Amino acid sequence: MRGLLRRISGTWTDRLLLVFVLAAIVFGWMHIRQLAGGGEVMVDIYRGQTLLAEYPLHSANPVHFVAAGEIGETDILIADGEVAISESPCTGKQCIRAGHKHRIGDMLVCLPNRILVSIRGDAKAFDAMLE
Amino acid sequence: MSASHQLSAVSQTCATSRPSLEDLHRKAQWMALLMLAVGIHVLESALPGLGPWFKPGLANIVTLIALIMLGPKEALMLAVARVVVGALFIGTLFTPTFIMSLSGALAAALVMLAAWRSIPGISLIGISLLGAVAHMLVQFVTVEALFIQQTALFYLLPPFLLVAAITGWLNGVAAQYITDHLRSTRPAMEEAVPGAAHG
Repeated sequence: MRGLLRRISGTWTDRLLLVFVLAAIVFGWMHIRQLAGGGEVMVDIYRGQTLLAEYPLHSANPVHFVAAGEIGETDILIADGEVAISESPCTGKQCIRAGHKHRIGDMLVCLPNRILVSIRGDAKAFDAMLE
Repeated sequence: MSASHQLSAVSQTCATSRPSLEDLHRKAQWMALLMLAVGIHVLESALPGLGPWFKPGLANIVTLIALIMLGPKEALMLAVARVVVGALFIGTLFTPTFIMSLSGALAAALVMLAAWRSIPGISLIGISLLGAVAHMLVQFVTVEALFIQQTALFYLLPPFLLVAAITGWLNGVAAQYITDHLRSTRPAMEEAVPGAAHG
């Protein structure tokens, strides 16, 4: 048991590096969350760099948007405070398997079709981040 | 020139142009490691996971072993060759997935070589950790720069980096175990690469 622990614990340098890496990740995470928080929650739908549409995440009526991408049409559903990709022309269907998203900063990506669906918080903070 | 002189001249030419047995042995080892890495790469691509965004990076264990067994140049070549040959098998050559894999693998290999050379007291675990994090970072930058030009993509980065750090650490443990085992069964390996004493 002690041998196993020694084997997986690495050298002091390794542990120091791990602490440094984890601290950088946590700091980056907090910074990003801070930038993304506040304001009305919106769903942005992009094809590459082009913003195709933006809808509020918590709208009264469900939204069904068909995004024309690189290889075909991606169906996006926004309902009950959640967004999901229901149909996609890609082969992997990873974007559909990603399921329903509802948190700020969550994202659905269909790389083959170049479609990105992103949940965004405060618009000003988002602009600040883009800069 | 007498016949014996001619013969010795020919044998000398042969001796200089033909690779030595040790050279051939290293090349064979490299090829064997490449096949192993490609096998793992292809297997990983078939794994159900978090999509093309995230793989456990098991093939990186082979790069680490190559680094210790054969040296930095061979490890770098192995990382690149693994992605190219693997893509031929999976059928993703020159697709976005391939470019992501290649950029990530190249960045990881370069960072690992730099760490191996310049950080005193680091073991394969630390090297693997840095490689995994570099792999993930460069993949994100590549996707953002080439395919989806949205800075918002970086919202996803921290959780992915966290998982990469964990899997990088575990892969390093595996690589360390394997190289320790190889060293104990083949003591000549340590003599072949002086830098191996580093790990």
